Amino acid sequence: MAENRASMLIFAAFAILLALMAFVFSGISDRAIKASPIGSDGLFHWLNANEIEAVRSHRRTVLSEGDIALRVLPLLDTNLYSDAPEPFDARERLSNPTLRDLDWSIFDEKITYVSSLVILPKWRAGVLEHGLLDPQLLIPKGQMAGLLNQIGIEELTLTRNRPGFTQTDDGLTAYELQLFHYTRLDGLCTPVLSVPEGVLLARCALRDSTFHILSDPDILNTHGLALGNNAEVALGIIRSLMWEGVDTVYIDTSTTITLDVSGDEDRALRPRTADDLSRFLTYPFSLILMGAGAAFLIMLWRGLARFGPALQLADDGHAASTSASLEAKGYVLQMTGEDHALVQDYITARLHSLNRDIFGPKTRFDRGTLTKKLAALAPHTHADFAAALARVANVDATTPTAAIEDAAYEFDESYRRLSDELGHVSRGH
Amino acid sequence: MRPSRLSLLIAVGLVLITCAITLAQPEGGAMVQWLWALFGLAATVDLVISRKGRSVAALLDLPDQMFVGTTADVPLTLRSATGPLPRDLRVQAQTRGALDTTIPDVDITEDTAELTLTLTCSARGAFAFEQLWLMWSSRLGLFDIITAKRFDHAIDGVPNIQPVLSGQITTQVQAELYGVKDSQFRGEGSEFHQLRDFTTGMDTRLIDWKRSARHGSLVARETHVEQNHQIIMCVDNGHLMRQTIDGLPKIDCALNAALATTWAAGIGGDQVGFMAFDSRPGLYIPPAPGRTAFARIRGQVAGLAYKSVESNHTLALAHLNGLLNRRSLIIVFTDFVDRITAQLMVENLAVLSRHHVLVVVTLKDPVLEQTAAPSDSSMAAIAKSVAAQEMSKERQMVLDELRRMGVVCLDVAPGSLSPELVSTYIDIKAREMI
Repeated sequence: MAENRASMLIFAAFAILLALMAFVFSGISDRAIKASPIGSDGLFHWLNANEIEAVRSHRRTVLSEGDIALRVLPLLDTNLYSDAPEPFDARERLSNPTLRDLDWSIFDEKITYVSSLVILPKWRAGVLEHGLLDPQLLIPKGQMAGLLNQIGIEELTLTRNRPGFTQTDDGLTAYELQLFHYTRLDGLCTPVLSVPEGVLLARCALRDSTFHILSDPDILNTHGLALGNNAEVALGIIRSLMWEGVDTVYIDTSTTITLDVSGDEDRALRPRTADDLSRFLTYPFSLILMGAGAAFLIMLWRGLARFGPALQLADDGHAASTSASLEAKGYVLQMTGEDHALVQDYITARLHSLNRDIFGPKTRFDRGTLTKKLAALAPHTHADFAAALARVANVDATTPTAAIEDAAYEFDESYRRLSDELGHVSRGH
Repeated sequence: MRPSRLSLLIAVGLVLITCAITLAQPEGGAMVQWLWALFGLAATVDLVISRKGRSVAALLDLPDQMFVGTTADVPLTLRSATGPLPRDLRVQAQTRGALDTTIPDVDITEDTAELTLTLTCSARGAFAFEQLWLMWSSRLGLFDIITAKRFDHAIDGVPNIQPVLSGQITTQVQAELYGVKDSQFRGEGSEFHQLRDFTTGMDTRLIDWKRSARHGSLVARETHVEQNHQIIMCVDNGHLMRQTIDGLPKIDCALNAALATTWAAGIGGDQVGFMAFDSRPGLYIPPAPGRTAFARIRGQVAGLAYKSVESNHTLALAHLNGLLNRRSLIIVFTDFVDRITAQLMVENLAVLSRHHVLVVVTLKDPVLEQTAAPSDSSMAAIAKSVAAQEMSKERQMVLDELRRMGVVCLDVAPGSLSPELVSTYIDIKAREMI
C-alpha cells in the first residue's frame, strides 16, 4: 500500500508537470502565427528572393541597430499598456484581438532608434483557428482607436468603407481594406502612400522618433502578398523606406529588445555546436549523471522484480449487476431535475412498505387507514411523522433542492423514530 | 531478488549528496566516488552473507476439488534448511482462475512456521494453485530476497453438493415422504402400496371390502404417493445469471439447488432430466432414475461454461416442450429485469404450463432491498431508492402474473434456495400435482 502511495505521488507529480506544460503551451505559438496567412513568413521569403536581406527576429540574433536598414514591426496587440487576460473559454479565445503581447516601453524603444515600419493589426485570433477571413473577425474600430491613442497618434482614425475585396487602379488588393482617414491627418503624420479612399502608409514624427505606419497588414502579410499587385507594392514600400548603405530588413516579431546598441558583434546567428552538449558531460555533471544513472538502474531492477502474482485489473467477462443498474437508473432519474417528484415517489414507497409491515402484503394501501393505525400504534412519534409528511407534500417544482433535501431528511428521521416506536410496540415493551 | 526500498532511498540520497557536493566544491568528486563505492561494497557484502531463496522449503496439502462458494483450510509448513526462518517473512499465493487465497500473518517458531491458508472457490471450472511467493529482507536490508515455490496443483471447482453429502436432503425428504408426516399422505396417495390388517383408529374408508370378504377379516388398502414422475431442471445460463450475489454467480446457486433437488427426487423415486440454455438450447440430459441422473448431471454441469449472452426463452422452452412426451414437473431457474423483457418468457411459460407443472425459481438480490431503504437522505440515495422500488415492483408484477397462470414461483435469497426448492418439490409431489 505504501509503495502504491509513493507511485501515485510520483505519477501525480508527472501529471501536474504535464498539465502545467499543457497550460503554458496551450496558447497559439509564435511560430504558428508567423507561418499563418496573416504572418510574416511570406514577406521574409519574398524580400530574400528579391535581393533584400531579410532577417527574422530571434533570441540568438546578434545584430546591432546600425546593421538594420528598416525594422518591420507587425503589431498583433491592441493594448500596449497591459497584458491581455487569458481567454476564459473557446469563444473568448476566438475573439481575442491580442495574438502577441507587446509592452509599450519595448515598442517605444523599438521605433525610436531604428527606422521602423509599424504595421497595424486587423484580425482577431479566430482567423488562425478557422483559417478564414470574415468581417466578424475584424478587430473593432474602438479597440484600434485605443491602440493608436496609446502609440500617441490619436488623431489618426481608421476607415473600413469598402466591404469585401477592394482593388485599386495600381493593383493594390485587400479584403475589408483598412485605411487612415484623409481629413484627420494633421501635423504629426503625413501621408506617404494613398489610395482614393484614404491613406495606406503615413509617416509620423513623435517625440524623438519618426516612423512609418501601415494601416492595413494585408498588404504585407503572407496571404496579402499573393493578392493582386501587392507583392510589387510591398517591395516598393520597403525599398523606399530603407536607409541608404545598409540592405538588411529586420522583421521584428519579438516582444523584447533583441538588437544590440553597439555595432561590435558579428552579424550572425551564434551556431549551436556539439560543444554545447559536451559541456554537460564534463565534471561535475559527469558524476551527477553517473549517480542518477545508478539510481535509475536500481529503480529499474526493483521495478522489474515482482513479489506476488500480477494484479488482475479486469474480469474475463461482463456480468449483469443490480448495483450498477440501480446506479445508472438513479442517475438518470436525478438528471430529470424533478427532485420534488422523486422525493414524493420515495415517500409513497416508504408508506407502502409501512402499510405492508403493519397490515400484511395482501392488504390494499389506504393512506387514511394507515394514518389512523399509526396514531394508535405510535402515539409519541406519530405527530412528528405527520408533520414531516405534510412538509414533503408541500414541495413542488419551485422548491429549492436544499429545502427538498431538508424535507426528505426530516421525513427519514421521523420515519426511523416511528419505526423504532413500532418496534417497541411489537416487542411488547 | 530486488533492491529494497532502503537501497532506493540511499541511492536517491547519494544522488542529492553528489549534486550538492560537486556543485558546491569543485574538488569534492573524490569524496562522492568514495560514498558510491562504499554503497556498492555494502551491497556486495549483503548479497554474500544473506540467505538464499532455496534455503526455505514450503509444504502444502492442497485439495483436488472444491465446492463452489465454499472455503477450504490448507495447512502450510515453511521450513528452513539453514538456521531460523527470517522474522519478516511474507507469503503470497498465486492461483489461476476463481480461487481466492487469504493468508494469515506468519507465526515464526525457530526454523519452522505453520500457518493455514484459506482457499475460496467462487466459480465452477478447472483452476490451479500455481505457486507460493516468499519474501524477506537481506541481512543488511539492502535487498528483498524473493523466491517462488512452484506447485501447479490442479483444483476443480464443482457444484456444491454439501447438503446432499451431509444427509440434509435425505433426512428432509424421507421425513416428509415416508416418515412422520408421511402418515398424512399415505392414505391420500393414489398408488397402491400394500394390504394390511385393519386396526382400530384407521380410517374406515381405507377398508378393502372385497378382499376383506375373501380373507375373512377386515383388511385395509395402504397407498403412497405416486413415483416415477418426470422432473426437468431447466437452467437459464444467460448473462443475467452471471450476476454475483454474495460472491457467488446466480447460475451456481441455481445449479447447487438443482442438484440438491435431483437428489431429493432420486429419494422420492422420480426420474430427473436436465437442460441448460442461453441464446439457444444447450446441454440436455434426458430423464433418468434419481441416483443415476444425479451422477450424470453433476458430472456434466461442472463443465458448463459461463455465458455473457442474452437468454432466448422462446427457443429454449419451445425446444423443451418438443422433447417432453409426458406431463412433467419443470423447474425453471431464470432471472429477468422488468416486465417488458420478461414478457416473452411469461408467454412461453404460459404455453408450457398447459401440459406441465411449472416451478419458476428466481434469486432475490439483497441489494434491491438495501437500496430501497437507504441510510442517508441525499438526492442520489433517494433516486436510487426510487429506482430500486420500481424494479422490485416490476419483478413482483411478473411473479404475480405467473402465479395467476398456476405457475409456482420461488423468489428467494440464495442461502435458502435449496431447502425451499426441495420443500416445494415435496409439496407438489404430496399434493399429486404432477
